[in-house]
Amino acid sequence: MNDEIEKQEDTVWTEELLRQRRKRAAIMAVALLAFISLFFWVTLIKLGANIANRPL
Amino acid sequence: MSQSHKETLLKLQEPASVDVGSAADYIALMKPRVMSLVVFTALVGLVMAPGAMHPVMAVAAISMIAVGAGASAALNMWYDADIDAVMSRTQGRPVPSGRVTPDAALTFGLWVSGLSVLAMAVMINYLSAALLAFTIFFYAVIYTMFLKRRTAQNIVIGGAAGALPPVIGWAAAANSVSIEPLIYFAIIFFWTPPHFWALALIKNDDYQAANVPMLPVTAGVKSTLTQIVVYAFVLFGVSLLPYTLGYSGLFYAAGAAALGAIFIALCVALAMARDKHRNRLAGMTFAYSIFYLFSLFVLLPTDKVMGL
Repeated sequence: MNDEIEKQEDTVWTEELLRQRRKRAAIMAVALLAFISLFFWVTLIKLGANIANRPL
Repeated sequence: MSQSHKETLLKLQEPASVDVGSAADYIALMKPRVMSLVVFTALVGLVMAPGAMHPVMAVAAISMIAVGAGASAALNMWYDADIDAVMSRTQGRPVPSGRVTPDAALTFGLWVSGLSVLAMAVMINYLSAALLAFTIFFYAVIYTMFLKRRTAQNIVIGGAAGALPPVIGWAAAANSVSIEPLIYFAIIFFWTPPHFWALALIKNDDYQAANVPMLPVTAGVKSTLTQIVVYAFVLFGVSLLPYTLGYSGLFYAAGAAALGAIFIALCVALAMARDKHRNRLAGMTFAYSIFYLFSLFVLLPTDKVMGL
């Protein structure tokens, strides 16, 4: 753990690296949102089918 | 993990001890070109399965297969970083080039693998999730960690991992597995050896330097060429199974026979080529093999639509 912190402190975070990291975080956020919306739509479809097929 | 492998990984960690990988590096970690063939064959398996699947469910299933395939590729790149660093074809990959640390690649691969299997189980069905989990395990553990460095039959047995996506696609749509998807499995399974051995012939020096026992390294070029021709003939027969067993029509049979005949002709020409022409012909065989598999999997649904 301490080693990891030391390594992080040793790394020179240039503007280019910081820009890359921000871009990576943004893409990760988009991927996460896509995953969540996929779950949402699949849930709606499954729920919809079950409501339609329920015994009356 | 062997001692030398650990030492190489420790050395590799020195240039990038903190993860500075960009989004593009993480995408490269998932081998997008391999993933595209996986996605395509899985999609064909899904389309060919009986019954209709809601388009959103189909997108979810294919996405999870793609993500799972990408995760297993990341695990492969983590474990193979030492040999990737030696080979010219793979030196530029994110881990050996030091842009992504081995620890980051391993963490990414494990998390994304788990997530894809879990999502497949929750969103689609348990059978396709189990098949996806088995595929990831087979590629990352059985092929990468055990077969690749130990036997010349590495890509023959390991080819099973690459052959499973259409079966997963079918299972996602039908929640069962029948003979038909197993034929698709067999097509990719018998296609894999001549495809990879053609590449291994070109990159023979690389594999020798990395000490990977590919067939040309262990058995020699002549024996490899003979086996490429044998597999091309076997593949020809297997590719006609959808027709002979009554699952596809004449359109598919004619297309598969024509494509297969060209592949056999190329493999025979490669086997008979003189040394100075061999690499060029091996490159052509490798490139054509990709076109061949892609075309076979285009013919299958096209034939179904045409209903000949």
